Amino acid sequence: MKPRIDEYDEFLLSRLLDGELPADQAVTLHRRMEREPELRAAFESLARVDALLARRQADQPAVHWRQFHEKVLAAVAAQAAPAPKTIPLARWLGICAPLAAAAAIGLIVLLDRDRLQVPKDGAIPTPIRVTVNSPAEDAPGKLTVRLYRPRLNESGDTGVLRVAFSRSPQLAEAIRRQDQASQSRPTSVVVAARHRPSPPQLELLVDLLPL
Amino acid sequence: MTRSDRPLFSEDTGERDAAWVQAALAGESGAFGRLVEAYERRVVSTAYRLLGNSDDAMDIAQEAFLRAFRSLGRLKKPGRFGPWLMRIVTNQSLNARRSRRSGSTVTLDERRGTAGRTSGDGEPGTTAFGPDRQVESRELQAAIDAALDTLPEKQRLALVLFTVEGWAQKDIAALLECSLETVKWNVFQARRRLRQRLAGVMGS
Repeated sequence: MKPRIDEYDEFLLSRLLDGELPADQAVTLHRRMEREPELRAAFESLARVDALLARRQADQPAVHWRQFHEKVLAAVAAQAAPAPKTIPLARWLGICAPLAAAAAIGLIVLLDRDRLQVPKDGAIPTPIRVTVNSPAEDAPGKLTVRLYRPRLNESGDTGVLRVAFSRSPQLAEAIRRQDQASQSRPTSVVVAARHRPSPPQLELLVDLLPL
Repeated sequence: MTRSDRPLFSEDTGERDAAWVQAALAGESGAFGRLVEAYERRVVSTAYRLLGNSDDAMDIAQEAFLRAFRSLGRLKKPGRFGPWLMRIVTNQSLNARRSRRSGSTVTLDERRGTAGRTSGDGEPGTTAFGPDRQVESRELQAAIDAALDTLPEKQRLALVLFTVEGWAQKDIAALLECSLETVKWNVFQARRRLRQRLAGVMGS
């Protein structure tokens, strides 16, 4: 008899609980549980934790659904029409990424797509430009992403959305100095991650940006 | 079918949502309202699981619908409206949770005190359990709250969405942008930690 159950045993128990263990492994595990009280106790306590959590399905938020529905629709009605179909940022970055990867550190790649649109509250969505500032993809270090608030151009109807990537403290400092020189400030430092955000993640960041 | 295979978003709902999204983009009155009606309970419920407070959950849910409406044109696959919306509400809930943690804290009593089961017509009603069972489980539920709060965010999210909200693990993988195996591992690790931390109150 094994003196103690290990992490892998518990992983098997978790899979057994979900009905995911292949039949032969399930039979073997059940036989082991007959011989090993500790293993059986672990399975029973895992099942109990699961049952306690599942009981929370009955714990529902206190919501007056009709009022909530009407409140949401009223808030939506107060908005402008939804943004028309646009070129998604993912496609944009697909165009931009090869350029950025080949670029020297600090190279600014300017892309201009007037069909990428960000709505303003109560107004028809306005076209924006996107600026991507990126080092080579294989540069070491932590990745920091900055999103910059769109600026209105001279005609007052076009914003510029800058997305800056930096993988090294030196580059981050260079971007900071560049921002200082141009008196531009990022809306926020959004992500600090080991990997460059995927296009869907960036789309989400753009969605969440308080424009 | 194993428990983790339960589908949340079917092909049928995808086709239905795609039609409603296109109609909303075309300016059809009421199309977005149908999307709201289809998802409002799941959106509020998910926010509630992550925030533990009905009022906060409703605020986040409303904001999620507004953001979805404003960004509808950027949705590449209208048939994936459901998962997309859930990603928005999940991220907003996690952001709100982080903000709340960095600011004032909410006590367990406050979190549990606003919970109430809704009756069939959607009106607030009585709680799910009878008084005796409430007393019996109150201490344990509080212990679970405390234990859940100590879990890493992804483990907590994976476990709550899978076990309480009934999401398929592949939907959680899509939400977290990780592999199915990573979700399984996170669910397992969350269970394991909860089991260890609740051993005293569960008597094992």
